[in-house]
Amino acid sequence: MARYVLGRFAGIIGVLFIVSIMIFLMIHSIPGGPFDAMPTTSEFREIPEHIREKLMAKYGLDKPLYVQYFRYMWAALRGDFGISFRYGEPVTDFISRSWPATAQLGLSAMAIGIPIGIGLGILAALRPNTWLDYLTNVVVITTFVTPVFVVAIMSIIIFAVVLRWLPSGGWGEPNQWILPTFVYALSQIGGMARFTRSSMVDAMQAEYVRTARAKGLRERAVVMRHAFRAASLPLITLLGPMIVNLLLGSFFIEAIFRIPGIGGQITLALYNRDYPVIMALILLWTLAIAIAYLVTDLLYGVVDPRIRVGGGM
Amino acid sequence: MKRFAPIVAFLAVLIMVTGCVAPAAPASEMADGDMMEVVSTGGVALPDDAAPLDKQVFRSAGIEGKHFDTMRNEYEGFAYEATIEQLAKMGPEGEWHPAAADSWELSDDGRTWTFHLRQDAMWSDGVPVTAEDWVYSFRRYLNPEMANVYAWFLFDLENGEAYNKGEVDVEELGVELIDDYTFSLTTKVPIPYYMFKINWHAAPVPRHMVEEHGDDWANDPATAPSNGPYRIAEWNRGKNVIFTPNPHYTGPYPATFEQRVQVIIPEVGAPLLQMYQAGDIDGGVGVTGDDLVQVLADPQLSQEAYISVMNRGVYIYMNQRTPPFDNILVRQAFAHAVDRTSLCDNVMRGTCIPAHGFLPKDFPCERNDDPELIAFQNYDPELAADLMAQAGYPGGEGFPELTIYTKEGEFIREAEAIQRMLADNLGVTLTPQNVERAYYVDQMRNGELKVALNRWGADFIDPSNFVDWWDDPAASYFTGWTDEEYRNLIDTARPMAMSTERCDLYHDALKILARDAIGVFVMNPVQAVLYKDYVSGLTLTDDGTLGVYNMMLLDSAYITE
Repeated sequence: MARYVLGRFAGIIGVLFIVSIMIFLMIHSIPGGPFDAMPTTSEFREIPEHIREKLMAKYGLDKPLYVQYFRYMWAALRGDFGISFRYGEPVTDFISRSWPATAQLGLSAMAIGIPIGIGLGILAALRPNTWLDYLTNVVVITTFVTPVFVVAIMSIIIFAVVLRWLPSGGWGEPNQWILPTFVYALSQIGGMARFTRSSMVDAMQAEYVRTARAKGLRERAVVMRHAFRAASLPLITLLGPMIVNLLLGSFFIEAIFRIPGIGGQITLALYNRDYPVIMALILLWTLAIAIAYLVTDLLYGVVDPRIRVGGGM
Repeated sequence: MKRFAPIVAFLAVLIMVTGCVAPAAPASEMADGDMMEVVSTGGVALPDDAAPLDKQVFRSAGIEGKHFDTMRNEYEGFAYEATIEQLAKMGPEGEWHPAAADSWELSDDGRTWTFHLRQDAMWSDGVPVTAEDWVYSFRRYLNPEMANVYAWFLFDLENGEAYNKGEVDVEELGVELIDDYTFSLTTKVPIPYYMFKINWHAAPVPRHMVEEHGDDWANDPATAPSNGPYRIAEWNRGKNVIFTPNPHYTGPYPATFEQRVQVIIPEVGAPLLQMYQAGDIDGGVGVTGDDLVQVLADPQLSQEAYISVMNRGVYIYMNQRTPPFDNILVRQAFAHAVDRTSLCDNVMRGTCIPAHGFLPKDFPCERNDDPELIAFQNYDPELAADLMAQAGYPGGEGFPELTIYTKEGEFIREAEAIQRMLADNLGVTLTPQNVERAYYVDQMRNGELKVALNRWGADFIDPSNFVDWWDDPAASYFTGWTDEEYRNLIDTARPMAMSTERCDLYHDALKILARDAIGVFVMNPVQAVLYKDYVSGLTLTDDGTLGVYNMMLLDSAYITE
């Protein structure tokens, strides 16, 4: 077991190196650089060439690409991910001050969205093709197909502009957490419920469920201990990347609700050609996804002994 | 039912929480119902209808800056109007009022501006502001080591560009210390609008802090004192910046508010209008396009809106280095094929005004009603088709399929409408494509980009800002076109004092741009800037508008009950 996990970690490190090279080459090959124009003025003006050269030299961007890459990796291995061109602060500071907001939002949304999604899915599966199923279906499909930015703006208009119950955004006061958390949770419910329903419907028709019923088990035990446990395998597959996405935030939610997190930052950093921030966030993302899949694989074994990995636990 | 219990409990908690956060009634400061005069911490006796001091807070929105160093805009610093005091301030009607300088005079040759500073001025940490601070700041702004991307803004100074390029020593720069409270700036040539240029961007930096902390001084409110009515109290990254009255301020514009707050918004995506409607910001919200339509239709918002034509010209950029736009007939055909009235009235629902010349409406020297100017680019589909045929593309035959670019999500709908007009009237196919800024700049600089719907906004209030760069190969939007007559006109006009004669010259230059269709001038956008009705005392123009680059707008403003 330990050997298996160690082996997987070695693999993850390899993946990180490959991804770092790919991303580095990609961001440097898109047309346009960080100091082509003054980005935050409403009108952009050319930066005089002699000043541009100075800035490029200051950030080491005048060196050949492979030199830049090795410099970057050498510093990164020692925990120095460079200084953001846009914010002027070390990328590590930037991430450590921004991530807590994103993580808090993601965890709260998860705590609300995932149980509701699974619950709705199970409910619908228990009474397939009844009004309850159709009703959950309508709710689920509506939340699933409505883009999150539409829901976000609508919720601001209803709760902040018309009813004046909640602020339109910001982060810090508990009342500022409510709208983004619920909108975010809502956006997770649809997919979760659809998926749970279909796995559960299959599981409920399985032979072992009939056997369990025949044994005279209470319906609750049949559903939760037998059917849901079997149905949760595909759910675990879905949950891994979903949790990572929640922890790394949503561009729309964070931009619309003005949350100082990292959710919107990959997009903005790409837009600003803020190379150090792009690199750090994509590596972080890669690491998180890789770990999520590792955990998923281990969880399979917990839920279903048939696919336990790496020999005895 | 039992299994629903957690959900029900949760909803109950939610309702309680939301109930708790409804705005609480503020405690009044009025004693025994008397009309007590409210005096701000800045020392201003507020008018009778002013709200108590704890409500004298003005919140606006802006993106996050990198630092508070207004003289090192590697990327922009914060919106600094609350914390800096310029030498002089431009009022709503374009007149100048003393601020950090009590008085100033211009030498007879029109090149040297001498400023006499207010002698009791102090930084918010109690250190006096002297002419040395100012001289130090101008020199630092252009110091080659600073790599200041805005350095070009002071290239008009004697040896400004040469010093910035490291070609001459700082002593050669046209900035001179005369005594503790007097210094002068000398420009290469007389620049009649120079007051605007220096007061728009230039502010002093606290030399004592820069020397002690290096460039980091501006990253921390504790080491970034201000010379203006407000000082920086807090910078909560990603959330807000809070400005409070500067206790050492002695100038003519003392703080009326107890706090000014800049709410930090992301670079894209923040729903500004909804933030404003929700009462999370109090004013300074500029809206255009669809938001403007909504504002005008709303009984409350339309009351709070100050409407103006923006100082922006929107035009079709055509790369004239290569075919097909090296052909004047093609460009003229394009100019006559765009129905600007229909664009603004129907497509944009009144959120722009048609233009046939490049200067925005009401800008100095603007004469867009001149029939001769209009005739160069008026909407005339038949003439346009004729010109296209003469150019060798009858009915658009043989004309290459091109992409018409827009950037950053701006002008997408306008570009769609224009490509339709060009397709209908000329038979050409232009595919609109919106791209991000970095790509757009890159492609334009490489000369790869052939045609775009572009804009130019004023940096300062002088026609030279709109005409100087068209034939300048170093300019971002250079099209490849140069013209001797044009160059002569603008070189003659630039150093002249503002007069009808100067405007005549500029108008002639603008007519050349229109006649040869160097750009197809399309429209000027309209905007509404919103201020809540409880924000009172705005310094407005005589006819109640915000004015052009009015630097005094909020100087006497306060919150009413």
